Amino acid sequence: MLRNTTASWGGVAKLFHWMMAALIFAQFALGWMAVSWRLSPTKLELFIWHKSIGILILLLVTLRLLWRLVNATPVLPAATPTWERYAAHASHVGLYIAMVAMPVTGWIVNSAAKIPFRVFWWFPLPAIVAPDKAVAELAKQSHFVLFIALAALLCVHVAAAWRHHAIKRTDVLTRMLPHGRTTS
Amino acid sequence: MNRCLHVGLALLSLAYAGGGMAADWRMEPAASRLEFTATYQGEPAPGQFKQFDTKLRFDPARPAKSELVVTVALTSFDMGSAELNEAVRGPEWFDLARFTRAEFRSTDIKPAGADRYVARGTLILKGTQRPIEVPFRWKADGKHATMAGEIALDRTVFGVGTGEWATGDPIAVAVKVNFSVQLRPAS
Repeated sequence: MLRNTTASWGGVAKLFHWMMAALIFAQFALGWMAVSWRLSPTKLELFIWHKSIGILILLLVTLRLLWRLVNATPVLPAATPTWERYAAHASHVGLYIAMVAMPVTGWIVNSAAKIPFRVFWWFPLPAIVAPDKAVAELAKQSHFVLFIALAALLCVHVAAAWRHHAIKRTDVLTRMLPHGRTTS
Repeated sequence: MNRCLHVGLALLSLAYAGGGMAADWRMEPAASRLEFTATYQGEPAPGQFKQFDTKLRFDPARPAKSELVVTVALTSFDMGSAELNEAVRGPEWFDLARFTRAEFRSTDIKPAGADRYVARGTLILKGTQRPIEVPFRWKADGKHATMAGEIALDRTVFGVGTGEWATGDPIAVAVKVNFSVQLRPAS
């Protein structure tokens, strides 16, 4: 069961979901530490990890969106009110936008600040904008605002999943769990 | 008496110039550049010194009589990145609050093949003096001369990048320095 059905998520979609969940939380920790660490080789290494994982996330989200396009999407329980359907759709769109925009704004910061960088110490990342202090500052602020928005969306996401599971007693959470089966 | 001496000296220097003896050269700043390349994570991190000066007494036919003096305004460095510039100003790197100038002064210049010479001398950087060798190519036409070359410096010898930065990871210990200096005869 690698592919999705209209009732449940397949193995590939689950793998994407939980890998990215882990990577995003790792990014929160790494990004916070890298920014607050005093200037030292350790700070640079924290940034190298943060940037490398960011590029990995950008690659994964691209594959994930393509996979989503060529697969069915499990439907919400029939009893779900219209406002919840809109809210669910909007928050998922927001999450995907953040998952793309976070790495892209980070990439712009790195390019505009003209910092040499090898992804996972492996290959050099080309610059996507010319060196420019103002652009670097703007991209940094965008990166931070997006982080706040993503953190808020994740709170909504987790709270909604818990509500589906514990209060509404639907399978919306369990059908995304590694061994979860749909109850319907 | 004084006038006689001056005239005598003038004639003497004319005789020297005519005979192709040691000549004095001055740098043309607009056509000269002094660049360096650090290495971060194996990737080049280039920079330049926008202000420096070269004074040279040099005759390719008699290099032994030569002297090369290069002074560098360290404060004029630019790596094209506000963040890198800010970091490199600090005490662990250039320490621009204490050291604003670097200087190279040759002790001798020797030929090293066609159009090639090596200037041996002392580099003073960040309060440290070390002997270094600066190989260069020399090209001269009637009006100008250029000297160009490249050296590799161990930055830790001069205390550039101290403490944890001295390990060479992620910022390499070796720094390349490139120069291309255009000169005209001092009138």
